[in-house]
Amino acid sequence: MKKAWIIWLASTLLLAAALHVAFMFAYPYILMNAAMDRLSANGERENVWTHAPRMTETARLIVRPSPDLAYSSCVYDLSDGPVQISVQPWGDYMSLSLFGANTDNYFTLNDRRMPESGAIVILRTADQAITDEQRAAAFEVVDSPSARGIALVRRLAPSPERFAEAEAARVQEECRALNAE
Amino acid sequence: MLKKIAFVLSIILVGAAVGVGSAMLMIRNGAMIGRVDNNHWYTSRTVGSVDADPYTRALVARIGLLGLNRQETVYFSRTEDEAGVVFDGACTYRIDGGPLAARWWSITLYAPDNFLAVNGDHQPSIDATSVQPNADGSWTARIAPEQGDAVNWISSRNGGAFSLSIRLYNPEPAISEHLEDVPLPTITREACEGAGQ
Repeated sequence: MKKAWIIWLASTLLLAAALHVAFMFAYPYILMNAAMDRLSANGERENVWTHAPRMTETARLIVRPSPDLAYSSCVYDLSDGPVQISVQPWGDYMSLSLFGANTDNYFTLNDRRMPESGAIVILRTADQAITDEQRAAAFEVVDSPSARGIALVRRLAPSPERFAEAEAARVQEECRALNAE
Repeated sequence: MLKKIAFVLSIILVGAAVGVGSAMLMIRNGAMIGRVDNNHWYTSRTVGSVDADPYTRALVARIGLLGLNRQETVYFSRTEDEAGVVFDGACTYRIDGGPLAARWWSITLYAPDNFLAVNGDHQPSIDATSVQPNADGSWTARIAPEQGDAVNWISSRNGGAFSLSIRLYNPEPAISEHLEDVPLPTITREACEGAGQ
């Protein structure tokens, strides 16, 4: 009887420890997946920019949003090939940041490092080939650690006037399959 | 036979409850390895970073999803005033700050659900471009349900037990390498509506 209890306790603790670790590892993926679903309208809008309206008290897409920034997001999916992202210049702080499926911010390009005319970034998985021409046209070729993830552009736009200017700049930006016809 | 099934089933049920429950509790209660405290503000060295440990990553996924790493942006948050008392949206607070060694900064108020407080005031934040400084470069702002005579104001109306986040974009090394002692704004409670405190 005593032995049975020891086996029960040891097995339960072992299982609890394993599930604790598994859940902790899985949790960021679960939340990131949910964010990708929200930002892409459940996969309807992948490999295309979605420009968020000014962050107001009714915004519920992403936790703790900044009301002083203009956000654009592109949920990318590289399963059918690389994706090309282009960003326009901005006379103030801006950044393009890339997030993998585990929430890591694995790449950031801000306006200080960006050419004055803007930049093209090609996003691919490590095993995807691109042509020399495509490489030459890009400011940077970035390997994504996961097939899906989120590209995010932040532009400092603390006033309605600056926000309107941000809107004019960002409609010219691309997030699209690189080899699409 | 039935006894054996009950034995195994109870291991699975209790093990799952304890394992997942303890993980959720840690995520909810902010167990953050690499947490840095700075005079009631706190941050993590590893937010957004590929070096983040699973606990930090899980917590960040909950409270700061899509946050940038600290070379790009440093985020500090706080939930209490200088006396260590949890913020209350019905109270009036004074923020005193000085120049911050970053290209741009902002301070934003969030309701307990981690979204902007719903109050129609359109004053959820102050930032480096809008704050009116004093003659010596320092600045003062008010956090309160009403603006009153304040020049710099963050509305706490319907903020409940609110929290604040300070964002420091393109921080100088003076910030990103000295997270624990870089001077940050102080927040003092001045009055509480109807509470008589």
